[in-house]
Amino acid sequence: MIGLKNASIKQKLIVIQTITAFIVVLVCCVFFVVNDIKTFKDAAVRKMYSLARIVGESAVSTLLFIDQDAASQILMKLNKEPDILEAAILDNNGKLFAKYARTKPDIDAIKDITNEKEIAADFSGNKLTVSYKIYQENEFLGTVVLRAALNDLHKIISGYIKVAGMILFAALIASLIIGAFLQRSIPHRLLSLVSKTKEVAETGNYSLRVADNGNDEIGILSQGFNNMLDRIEKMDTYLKETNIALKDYSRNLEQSNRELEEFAYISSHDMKSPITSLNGMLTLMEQKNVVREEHRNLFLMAKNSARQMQKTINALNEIIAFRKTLKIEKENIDLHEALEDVKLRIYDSILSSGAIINADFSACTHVNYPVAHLKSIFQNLLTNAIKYKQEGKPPVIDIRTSIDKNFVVLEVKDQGMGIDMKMYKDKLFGLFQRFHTHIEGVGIGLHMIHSIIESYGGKIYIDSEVNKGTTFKIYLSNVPF
Amino acid sequence: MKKYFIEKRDCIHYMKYKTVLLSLFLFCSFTLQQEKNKASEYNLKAAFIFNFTKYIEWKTATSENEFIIGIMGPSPINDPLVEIVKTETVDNKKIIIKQFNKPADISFCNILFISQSSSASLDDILAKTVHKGMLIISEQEGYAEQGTAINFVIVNRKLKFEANVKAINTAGLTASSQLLKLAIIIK
Repeated sequence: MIGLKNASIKQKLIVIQTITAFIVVLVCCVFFVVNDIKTFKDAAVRKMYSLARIVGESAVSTLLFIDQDAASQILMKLNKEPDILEAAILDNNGKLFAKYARTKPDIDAIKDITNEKEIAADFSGNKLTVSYKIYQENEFLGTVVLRAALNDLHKIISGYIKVAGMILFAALIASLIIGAFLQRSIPHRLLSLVSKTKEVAETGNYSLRVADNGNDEIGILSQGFNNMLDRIEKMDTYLKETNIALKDYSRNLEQSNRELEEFAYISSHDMKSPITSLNGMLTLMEQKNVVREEHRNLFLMAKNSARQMQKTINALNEIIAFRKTLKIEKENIDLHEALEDVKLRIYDSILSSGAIINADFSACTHVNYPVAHLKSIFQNLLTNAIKYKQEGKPPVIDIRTSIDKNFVVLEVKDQGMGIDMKMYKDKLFGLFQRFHTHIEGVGIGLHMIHSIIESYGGKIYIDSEVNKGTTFKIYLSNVPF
Repeated sequence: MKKYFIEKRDCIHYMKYKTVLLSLFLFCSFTLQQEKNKASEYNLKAAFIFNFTKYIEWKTATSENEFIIGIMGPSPINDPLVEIVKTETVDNKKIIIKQFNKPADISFCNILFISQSSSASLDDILAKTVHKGMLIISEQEGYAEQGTAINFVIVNRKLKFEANVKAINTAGLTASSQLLKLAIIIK
């Protein structure tokens, strides 16, 4: 039965059917054989008892007149009954009165069962012994005992076994044929369902359908399968359409983005020389003392605004120039060397602030990244940390690296004034966003870092607490290309 | 020598005595045995006579409430018959035993048993009983041929009986085939 577990439903059904048919027929056969044997035995007992009674009745006078010869003659007539082996008449004292034996006498066996009851039938082996007590007018005269061999019983049993065997064989064949026929209605349909499922899984063709119009469970299953395929197919086409629309949309976005960039570049570039000349004019005006004393305040405000504007336009130009550099070649960079290079670049501010930079690249010494961008990230983070240090304390910066799957994680931790994450969380990487207005800056540093990291498929996380410090966790994509 | 003779004479005497004694004893035991045999024979005969009643179709005209068995002449059958009669009935009728000594005495009875010792002539008895529905039973050789219905004989030391069907029928009685089957039929 354990072997059946992995057999196909078709085989299981045939086996179950065959076993069931076999058991049913076997039980029927056994029942009929047992019943018939019993009937046969009952009939044999009845027949023998009738014979014993007839013999007994006709032996009454012989017992009354003690005529043993006549009694023997009566018994002799039993030789017409081939089944009867022995017969005897006993008188009322149980003494042998007359006897008959087909072959050799076995009177002991007869005597064994006499005097038991009025009618007695006893099967031992295939011998049936029947005794009948003879009465006349309530006077016990004697007993007739007949012993017969049930030769026919063997024949009947063997005949039945042959017939039962044939019936069993026929039932097996019939159940196999029926099983094969039924296969069309159950396993065949299941198998076609299974093969369709496989086909759908392999080809991804959701337009396939199972052709089954039965109303039974398999029909319902097939229908459910078809319905499911319908929905998947609809979903699939919907997704494809949406995907195409999204691609168009993103292409349009890219296009307009490029145009915007172009526009920003052109406008910032074109504004560069007018604002420079405006500033030059304003400086000239100041030098030539053309501003009246009472308007001097107004003039200074205008000059301040113009300078501010020039600064902004310069920053804009810087960003645009930087964006043009994105997507440049990666190379394998020694992190320590890169950091030392950056430290040299901002040597002045490190020296003036007395900053302490602790770098630990032991977990990961190299990274695949565009060297300019990595240095840009380092420079921005270090400058930020120095710029936004806590009042009256030299900044302490801890740099560590680690590896997380395809990323090199760069962790830069300062003990500066921190950022109120609740307030600025969404604005951290925006352009010209500034969180500490009292300190000079244009607000493009974090925006640039963010742009760089994202353009290579990395991530940046900031954890900060006001007056405690900020930790930047930067996931640099370490894939070579 | 003398002594021898005496002894011899004594011896002969003794022998004689012994022989007599022995033969006496033998005789006695023989007669005793014979008596015993006779008793069992008559027991059987009495039982047979009673059993005959079951296989004879008695005339319904005999509407008396008694079934009569007559015995002609003195016979040892009397005692066993009396024993049987004490307990048994025939067709729910009481059985009565009558003793006759000469044919003239004979009155109606269902069964008349003629004893061996009866000195009466068979013809007289038959003349007296013919056509009256009486079953005549005898126990002497040749009687059945002479006209008794049933006659007891000893064959191979076994008690058997002869049946004269004609005589039975003449008496107006019918014997069952079961009975005739066992009988030695006399024609």
